[in-house]
Amino acid sequence: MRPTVEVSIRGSTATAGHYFTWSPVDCTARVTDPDGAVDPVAITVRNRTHTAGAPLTFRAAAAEAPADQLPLLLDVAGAPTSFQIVPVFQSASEENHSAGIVVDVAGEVDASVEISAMVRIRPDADTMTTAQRDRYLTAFAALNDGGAGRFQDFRDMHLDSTSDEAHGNAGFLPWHRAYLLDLERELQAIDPSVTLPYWRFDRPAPNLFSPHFIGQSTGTSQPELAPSNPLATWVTDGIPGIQRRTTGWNDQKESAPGLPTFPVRTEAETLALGSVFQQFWVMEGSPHGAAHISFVGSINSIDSAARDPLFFMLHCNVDRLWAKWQWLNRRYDGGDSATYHPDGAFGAVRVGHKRGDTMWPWNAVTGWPRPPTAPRTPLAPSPVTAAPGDYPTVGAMIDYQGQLSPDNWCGFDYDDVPFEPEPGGTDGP
Amino acid sequence: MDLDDYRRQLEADVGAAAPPAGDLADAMATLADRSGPVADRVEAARLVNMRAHERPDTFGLLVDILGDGGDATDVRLAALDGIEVHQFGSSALKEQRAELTVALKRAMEADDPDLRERAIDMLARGRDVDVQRQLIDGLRDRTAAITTPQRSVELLGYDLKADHYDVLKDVVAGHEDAETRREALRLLAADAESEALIETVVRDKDEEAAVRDTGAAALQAVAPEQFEVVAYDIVADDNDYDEIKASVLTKLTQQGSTTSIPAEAAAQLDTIQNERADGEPLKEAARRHIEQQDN
Amino acid sequence: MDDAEFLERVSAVTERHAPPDGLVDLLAEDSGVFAGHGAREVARRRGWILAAFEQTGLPEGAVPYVREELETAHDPYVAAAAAKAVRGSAARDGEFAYHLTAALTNMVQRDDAVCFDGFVPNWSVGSTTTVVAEIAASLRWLGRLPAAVVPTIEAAAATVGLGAAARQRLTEVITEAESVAEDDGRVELRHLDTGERSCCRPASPGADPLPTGTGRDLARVRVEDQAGASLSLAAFLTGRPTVIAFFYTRCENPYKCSLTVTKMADLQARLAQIGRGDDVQLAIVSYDSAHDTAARLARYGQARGFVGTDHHRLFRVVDGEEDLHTYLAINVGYAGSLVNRHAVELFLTNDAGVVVRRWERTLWSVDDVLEQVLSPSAP
Repeated sequence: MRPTVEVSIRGSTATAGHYFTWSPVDCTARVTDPDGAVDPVAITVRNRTHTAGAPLTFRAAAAEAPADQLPLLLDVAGAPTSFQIVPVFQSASEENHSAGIVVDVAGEVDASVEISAMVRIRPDADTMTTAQRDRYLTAFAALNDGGAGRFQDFRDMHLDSTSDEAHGNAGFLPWHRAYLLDLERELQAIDPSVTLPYWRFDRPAPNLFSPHFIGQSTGTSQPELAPSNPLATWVTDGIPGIQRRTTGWNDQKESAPGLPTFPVRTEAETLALGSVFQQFWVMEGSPHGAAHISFVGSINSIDSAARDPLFFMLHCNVDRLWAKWQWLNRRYDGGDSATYHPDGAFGAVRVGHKRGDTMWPWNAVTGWPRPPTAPRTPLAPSPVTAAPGDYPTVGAMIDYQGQLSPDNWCGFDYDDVPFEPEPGGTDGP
Repeated sequence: MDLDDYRRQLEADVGAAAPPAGDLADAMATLADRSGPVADRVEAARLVNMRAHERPDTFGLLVDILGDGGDATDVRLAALDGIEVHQFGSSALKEQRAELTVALKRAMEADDPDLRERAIDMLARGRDVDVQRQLIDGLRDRTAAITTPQRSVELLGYDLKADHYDVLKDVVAGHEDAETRREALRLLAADAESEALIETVVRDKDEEAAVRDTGAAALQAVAPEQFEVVAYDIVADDNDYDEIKASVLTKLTQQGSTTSIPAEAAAQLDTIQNERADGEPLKEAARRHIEQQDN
Repeated sequence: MDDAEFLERVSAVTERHAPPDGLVDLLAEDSGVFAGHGAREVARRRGWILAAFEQTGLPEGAVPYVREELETAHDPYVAAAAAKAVRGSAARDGEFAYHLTAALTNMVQRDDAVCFDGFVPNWSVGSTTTVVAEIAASLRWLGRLPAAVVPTIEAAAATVGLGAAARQRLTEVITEAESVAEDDGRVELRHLDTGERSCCRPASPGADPLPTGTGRDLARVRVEDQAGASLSLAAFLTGRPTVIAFFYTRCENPYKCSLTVTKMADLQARLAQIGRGDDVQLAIVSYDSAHDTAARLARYGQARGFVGTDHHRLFRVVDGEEDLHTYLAINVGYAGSLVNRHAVELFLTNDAGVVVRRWERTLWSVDDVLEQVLSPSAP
């Protein structure tokens, strides 16, 4: 007897192409062919061990502590048995397919099911491996395609003429979260192992400000890029290269300073702004604006910032800070006035910034006070989740980990922001 | 990792990072008092800047100070700090848009070069045509310059539609500073009619390597197909330099070429592969290009 | 043309009390005063000419230019100048209220300072105004406002980020307008968040004159489409009526090219809805053929919902561009290869490629074009 077992991960029975974050992953296992067996079929779900990679743990139900192995008994008639994969916080994959699970069928060594996956997490740009960095840069350069690629959509979305959709109001953080996610999904369509890295502007980042990554400031208008750097062919608006130099600080040794009387807030100072969204949202000025203005060049104005690839890493850090604030203060319920401004409150008055509003341009809504056209709709789809939808609302960006409902899971996480359900919350996507 | 420990550690860090103490109204009063000590007013500006969002009238004060030619430079610079950062999002500052433009024009007339330069930068970012005119005039006539030639070109580069293409061509053709010429070449890539000039620079063996390299990037951006022709000509040229050969080969490889390698260039690539030492940049560039073509 | 010569051309009218029609000729994209200059400089010159109409009087021939700038200007200086020009009109025609209100919605989120004290103003001594202040002044000057525009002005006055002084001016416009309001019943104001931008303007003006007597044809004009296919434009235009629009991907004015392509996508969708998608061809042609490669055309169209098909295409001109521009009398100017200024215009050709309808310097509406294309007398 060699019963055949099928494992379904988030509804997919594929043996590859699974991408996890820190959120627990709902799975089922079932017997598809008992091959004569009459008793329940014993299986063991375990971490794949023959390759290096992110370890995974398992549990039968959300209330249980995860373990390295999980024995289960499957109904011989084929009824599915649920279990969860629980990625281990701060053990992200560095390569595609480097995580995996094995399902051993008792007594049948050859009947094991092996499934590869990746714990795909947004990393600190300064700590990326060379391979991670190069994949990211290659994908980004491909999206730019010497100025002829789809990257131009992201340039066209972030201009002075569109800035009220995304700035100066409560929707600043949700809009940019969607913007980054849209971009990340475009990059993942080129290379699914890529995630957006973040630039911790409150720490020195010599590996990021390197000729082999985002370029090292030289005192001239352009940072030095190695000839082999994929960004060497970067073009925006028909103009090659990246216009950026520091305001005098040493990008090899120092963190971004901001301006003399308006410094970049550190992570701790940012999180100390307060536990209510209205207090925290002030971070649009510092650290966000102060980090932008730490340079002379494209990145120091809303209209031209998207010409510089560093801009997306800056904003990824802004989003990470919001995510970390959410975790610290358990702020995932957008209906709670401490989590997001209630409609009509300061900062959530303008259309596009209220929790239930859809966001431009993905919603394709045009006409004053929205911009006259919407150059990118819908938001890029993901093969692993339907959230936040084609036409995301402000509110859809808040519960990005799926704390309140698995349906909310947007498919990204940060390397230092865990998934930690509130007592009484749901058990993840 | 124990998440409880992780949370406790973060809470401790956050607890130790209390926001700056001080009364905002007092700080605004100190900042507004033109007769007060400059150091006190700058310190007050620090608090006003960080907490400007709490009172929309802070922005009017910051703009007033910036535009006041009689006020102390350090205080005006501090006000500009707040304005520059809050340009990234404050709708209350946006209400001062017209007043800010006037204040920046006045700051352009300041004696202090830092204040002047930052005001020029901010107006140039906003595509102010009067500033663009001054920058162009300064490139044509040094005595009229409001900043250095390199900065002038750089600042004009904020605007694809500035009136600068003629003067950029003059800079490329005749300016003595290589960095200024490189910046001008880069911007000329936006104009297809500059293709011939850019190509001349790329082919010129007497040019500095860095200038030719920037020219190559510009040519690839403005005329990718012509860049391929020029790049393979350079590779095939026995008398050209390794550095530019490696550079154009890398650009061809990264962007992907649409044509097969011409015979003379192919022969040169074979020679490079056979005769150069491992690890030489040109040999590496040649290897990668051949591999990409084979794929 | 340098500043001195330009200013001499303008002052020949303004200071010698010549008929202001002489200024109208300068506004054409090919008048010579803009050739070779960057877009920002062109905006300054256009604004200087338009502002002069406040003093010289606004001739009839300048009205389409003023209307166009009010509806589409992205530059506060030009929009303010167009608003000033309205006050040179002999008649206080309430129709201007629609155009001024369109300018208000375009500019209310960028109410910048402008200075008309000199072509190259001295900001330290000159008096400044703002674009919203000029629009408000012209609305008040009109005296009687159609009731349909009042809600838009009220909404503009409530815009987040608008300064207190501008808010006050708009409030005064509303207060005065209420006392003289009349509804001339021309158009209903559509919902602000979903309507086309043409919500606040009167119905499309009468047919614009067709290009005639150009002495050119399309025989030499070859184009490449968004998929990289090369073809004769004349051959494409033969056999079906075609709506032709112009654009370029580097256009920075959201009220022009991006909106044009978006509306062409809307037109495409509307034709498909009624099963006429293959009966009417759509051609969107770039002004900037050197930059707008097939890949760029495809991406730009796709991002705005325009689907490339055999009969609906985006084009770059690879040969005979001058013939095409002359044949259609296109209003576009250049500095080097870069477009420095262009009008918003649309053409309808019959199945022989002959222009039978033209929308010039106006934000054409999809409804109007659809009606023309589908009318029994259509080509």
